[in-house]
Amino acid sequence: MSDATPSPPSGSPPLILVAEDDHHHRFVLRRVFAAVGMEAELRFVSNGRELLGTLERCRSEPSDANPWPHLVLLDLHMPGMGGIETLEAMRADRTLRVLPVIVFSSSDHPHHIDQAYASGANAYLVKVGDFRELVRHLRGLSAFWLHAARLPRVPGGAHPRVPDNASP
Amino acid sequence: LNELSTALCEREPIHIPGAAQSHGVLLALQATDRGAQGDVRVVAASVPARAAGADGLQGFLDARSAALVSEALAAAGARQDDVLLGTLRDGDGRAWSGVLHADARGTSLLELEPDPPRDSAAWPLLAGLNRGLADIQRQDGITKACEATARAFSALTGFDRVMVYRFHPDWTGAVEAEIVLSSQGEGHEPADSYLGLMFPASDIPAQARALYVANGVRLIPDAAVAPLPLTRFDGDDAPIDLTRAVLRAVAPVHLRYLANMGVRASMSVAVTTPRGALWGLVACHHLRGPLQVGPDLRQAAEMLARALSWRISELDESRTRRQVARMREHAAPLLAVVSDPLAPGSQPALDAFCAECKADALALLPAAHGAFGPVRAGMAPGNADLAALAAWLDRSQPGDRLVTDRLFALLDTPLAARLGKAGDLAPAGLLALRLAGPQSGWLLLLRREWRHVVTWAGDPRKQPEPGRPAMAGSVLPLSPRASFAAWTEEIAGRSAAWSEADIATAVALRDAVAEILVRRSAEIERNNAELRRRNEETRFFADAAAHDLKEPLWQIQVLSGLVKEQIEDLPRDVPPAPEAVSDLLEMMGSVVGSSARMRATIDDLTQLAVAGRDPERTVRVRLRDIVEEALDDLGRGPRARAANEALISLDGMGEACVGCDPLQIRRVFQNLLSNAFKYRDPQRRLAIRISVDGPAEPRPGDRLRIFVADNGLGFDPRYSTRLFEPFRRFPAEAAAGTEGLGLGLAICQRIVLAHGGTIEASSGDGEGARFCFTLAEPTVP
Repeated sequence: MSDATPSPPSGSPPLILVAEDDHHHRFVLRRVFAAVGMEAELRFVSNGRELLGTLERCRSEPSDANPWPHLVLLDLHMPGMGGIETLEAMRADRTLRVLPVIVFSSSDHPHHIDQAYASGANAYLVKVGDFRELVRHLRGLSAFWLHAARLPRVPGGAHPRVPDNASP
Repeated sequence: LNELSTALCEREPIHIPGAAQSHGVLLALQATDRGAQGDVRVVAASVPARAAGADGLQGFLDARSAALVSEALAAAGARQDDVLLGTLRDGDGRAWSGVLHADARGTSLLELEPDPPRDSAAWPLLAGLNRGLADIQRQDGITKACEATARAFSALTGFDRVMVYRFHPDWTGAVEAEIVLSSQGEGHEPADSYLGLMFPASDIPAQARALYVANGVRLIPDAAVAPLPLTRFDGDDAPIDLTRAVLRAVAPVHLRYLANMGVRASMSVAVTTPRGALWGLVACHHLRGPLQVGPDLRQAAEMLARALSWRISELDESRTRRQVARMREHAAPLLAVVSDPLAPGSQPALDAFCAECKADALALLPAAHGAFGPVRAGMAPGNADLAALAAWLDRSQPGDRLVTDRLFALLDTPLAARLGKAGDLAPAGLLALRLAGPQSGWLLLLRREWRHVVTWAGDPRKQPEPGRPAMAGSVLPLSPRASFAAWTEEIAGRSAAWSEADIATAVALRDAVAEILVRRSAEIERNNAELRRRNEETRFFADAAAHDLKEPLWQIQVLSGLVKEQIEDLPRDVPPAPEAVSDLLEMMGSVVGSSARMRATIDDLTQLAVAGRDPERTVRVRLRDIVEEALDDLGRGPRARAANEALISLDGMGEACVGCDPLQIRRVFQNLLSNAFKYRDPQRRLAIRISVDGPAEPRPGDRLRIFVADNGLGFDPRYSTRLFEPFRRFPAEAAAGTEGLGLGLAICQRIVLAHGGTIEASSGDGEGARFCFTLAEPTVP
């Protein structure tokens, strides 16, 4: 497959559920994703408890208003239920166990990184400050997780949408 | 008697009435220093002297009686208890009963009473016993007390040789004191002296020692006559137990020994400790002929032996007490060493303690992870050797102590070889005490080998001749075997034995050290818990601070990068499209906002860092003034309030004053009030009430309670303590719509604590938040 630039997926764009409490942050993420050219839809929740509640709704009342996400982007540092606690709760749940979770944190401390993987993160991405590097990272994230990787079935049983240019 | 006369009676000096009762005669005597022994001056009397001006005893007594008194006075010295003198006669030939005693200043009183004792056998016995008991009682050393006992026995019984024999812990023994009568009468040489000779343990075997405990006196009035067999008339063959019989027959072998020594008669009296253990014997030999000692004399002998035993135990106890007391003196600096092994001047204390226990070295060896390193004093072997010794003790000693004077006989070969290489420092004697519980380490006192020569009464290594059993329990034990020739031997591989006092001293030290260890380990446990808590707190704080600084920084970096790219992409030749400009402006606005938040976080951190410090200057201020200033700082001064934006009531404050650092307390109000504004309930008009509660007539130093209450969103009461933790963030439910509380309340808490007060928060259903903190009334005007 080509990983240089992701092709626009068919139908509605892939959904990324972002747990992020800071609205300034949400603004920055939106702008950066747009600048990267990622046609992913970003949906925000404030903390872990809200994330779990949203996923529960997506599972029990699947609808266009509650679509199942392709990816979860998780900040470690959130008020209330923090990132690690949320991860552990997800990994203890039969359905949520398989949902890919990318930790996206400003910390590059090895302790935090180890802790995230030990709690079941699929990848750990540091919020790097250098704009070009950040763009490279996010493009890579998109190319791999939204295009190259085959994702598990959604709770209803159907496979998530497969990018139309992916090899069968 | 009325009260007055009772009081007079109590004050009357009845012990110095200046007169004597008239039925007897009282003489006050002083030994003169004119040189001649027995020279006595009469300094006061209750009857006149026969010749006026004569102050000698002859003025009152006949010559024989005067001599008796002089003699008794010289022998008794400053004795305060009665010396019975028996029948004395005055110059007129009248018989009196005489008693002599001394007052505290050394004047002796001779008292003559009527009714002189009849000339009975009891009188000399009583007098001898009286003199002997007093003599034993006044001795200040064990050997001296033994000598006094031997003297009393000799005087009472007339045996040619009286010995006090003392058992050692291994049941060998030695003659401690001896009286040998010099004049044996015609045709008799004086008896040989056994003083200082050692006897092997086998000389007085266990069954013989047991007999002495059961029956304290063994008498053989004549070793030259044959015993009479016991004839039974009841046909029973069972032997009759003669343990307690005075007439118990003597083993033939022992009779032969006595004959070899030239001993015709002997008597041994046991000296037992108050706890019933055999300490020694008073052994008497008579060489000139048979000697019968009647039951009355035997009783007297037993009383003397008992007096010796009491005196010995008194002396032992007081010696132990003195040693332990001295140890406590030395122990104070020593324990300071344990508390702080680097304490200066510790070495003299350690050396003094070593000397007190007559040890050559001391080592405190705590377990590997102990509270202090090894402490050593004296000529101790190296640390590695000591550690090996401690490991061996841990392996081999189940009890809490090991006391030995021959360590090398116990050690396994490798350890013996290792310690043996220490040469002169090799310990032969070890007193080891476990410090506290198992594996807690050891207190070791070490003694070097003490090579010394002992003189045995005969060679103890010589076996008894075949067919001749070792001494049976029924015989007088204190007789050397066939050869009585002194035989010397050098004792090697042993240290001096540890005394009860040494052990008691070491135990006292061990107990003190153990107490410190227990206290210390509890302290360490507490400190560790506190340290873990602080580490956790610090880690959380650092994480949170890093996060709160990194996040806005990241936003600034990313947005700046984005802005830069977009500007680079703008066409150079035409003005940018208005949408592009507004987009750039929006991002730059966000950059400015993030910078401001970052700046605020840094300010908060700076505030927090200084908030814990002591208040810089404590002055008397009116609380209401501080609150007004804080409101001004927040842009909520009187003008803003007049605009009806919020209802702020200071009515409950009165004119209360506190002693505080005004800048810091102003910061407290700023933070509390800005929280109230931040977390206001959008549904209703904000109302804040600030009030003060305190004593009606406050005195300096009294506590005031200051309340800041609002009608805002409040918080979940579960978080009322965690609110004050720096950076603690709360779920939306706890503080709706907030960005977290940051550092404001943590700063408030630190400032109030630094002022010696406390702060707490409460919130109930729909009640808003209420903060209460305490400050003190000013102590300065």
